[in-house]
Amino acid sequence: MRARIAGLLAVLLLAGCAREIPSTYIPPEPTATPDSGIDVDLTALSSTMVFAEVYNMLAYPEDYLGKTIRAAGEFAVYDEPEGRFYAVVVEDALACCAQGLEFVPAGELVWPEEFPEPGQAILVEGTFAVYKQGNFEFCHLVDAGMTLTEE
Amino acid sequence: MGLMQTLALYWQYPFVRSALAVGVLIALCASLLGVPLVLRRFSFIGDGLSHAAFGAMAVASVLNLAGEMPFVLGVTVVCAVLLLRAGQNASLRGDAATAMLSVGAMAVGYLLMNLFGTSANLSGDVCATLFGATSILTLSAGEVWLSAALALGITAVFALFYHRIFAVTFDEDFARAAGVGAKACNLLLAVSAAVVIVLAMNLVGSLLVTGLVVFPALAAMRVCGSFGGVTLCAALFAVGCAAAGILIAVVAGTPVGSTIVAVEIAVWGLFWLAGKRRRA
Repeated sequence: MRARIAGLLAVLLLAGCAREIPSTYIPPEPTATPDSGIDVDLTALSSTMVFAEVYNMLAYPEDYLGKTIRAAGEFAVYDEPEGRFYAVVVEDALACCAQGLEFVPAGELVWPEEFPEPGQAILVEGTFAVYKQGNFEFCHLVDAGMTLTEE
Repeated sequence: MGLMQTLALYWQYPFVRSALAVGVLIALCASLLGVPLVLRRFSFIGDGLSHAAFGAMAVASVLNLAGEMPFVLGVTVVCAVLLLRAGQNASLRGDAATAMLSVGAMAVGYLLMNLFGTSANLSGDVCATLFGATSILTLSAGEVWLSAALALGITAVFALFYHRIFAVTFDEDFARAAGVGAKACNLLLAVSAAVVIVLAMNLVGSLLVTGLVVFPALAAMRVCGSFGGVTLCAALFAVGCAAAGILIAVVAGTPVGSTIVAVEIAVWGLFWLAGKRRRA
């Protein structure tokens, strides 16, 4: 069930990419280093491993609660009646099964000025957490730092 | 990071260890089954059954059945038995029945998924089912144990009925006359094929299943002359290629299923050359 919700999330994220949003985003300096206390560094894994690890995060979130995660992928945003959601979309080796990791940016960033454009490559670091919306449980990274990895 | 360091890092992940164990077991039982199937010119039965399994998976997905594997397994076993009967039916040849089942199940399965599917990522689901993608790395603990138990069961069945399978493979009429129980043995092979196909779909996807069945047997036949030698060589070939393919896929970030089959093709090429030199 959770995997299906994750799939739904991924598609919602991809659908959100279609809208072009103006951006004057200035990327902050990277703060994390390999020994900066990251529990799960997805950027150190191959694309096959990243897909499997993200799948596991979404399927078995209890194993990752409170862990700090670093992920690289494309920035995505989608507007829902419940609010605006941000995510980093990670693609797998076949490039057919994109998975999205939702994140809540740290601080009070102003939309859209302080955000990258959808589709831009970003690096996200945050703490893994789950939240409930209706009858469904979703995963996200909270207090997440965001770095643009390409102009 | 060096290759050994990368492998050491990935080895810490439980899903890599279980994928390697289950993948090797699946490849082993697929190779054992492949020897009699290839020798009896039933190489494409795996393809037909895997497509039937795809159709069953689509139905299970549409019906939202939790734990799809038992349902898919049941449907595939029934299809295997029907295909076996069709092969003995003069009015409908075995290859025609396989072709009908193969195309029919794929078409109906995809149609059902499109019309009634609940998944929001249909193309991803279909892609993963057809090519395996990373399915073997995302098995639940229950699926790992079920896959391992079924693979070990198939290997045990092959070992227990080795002499009967040998007899039926080379001369079915003689085996029947000798009271070997050819019908029961054929049924056993059909059921085993169905189980292996469903298991192997997790490893390489439904379109690549036949690779796990035929390449080990074909490679072993290039260098070995006896049924026992071919069986042993095919098993070693399959285990080595599956382990190498999974490790290459996780290190290089390539799709697991197609990497395993690519490794099998490359090693089959070496066996082909070795066989050519041996015969020269």
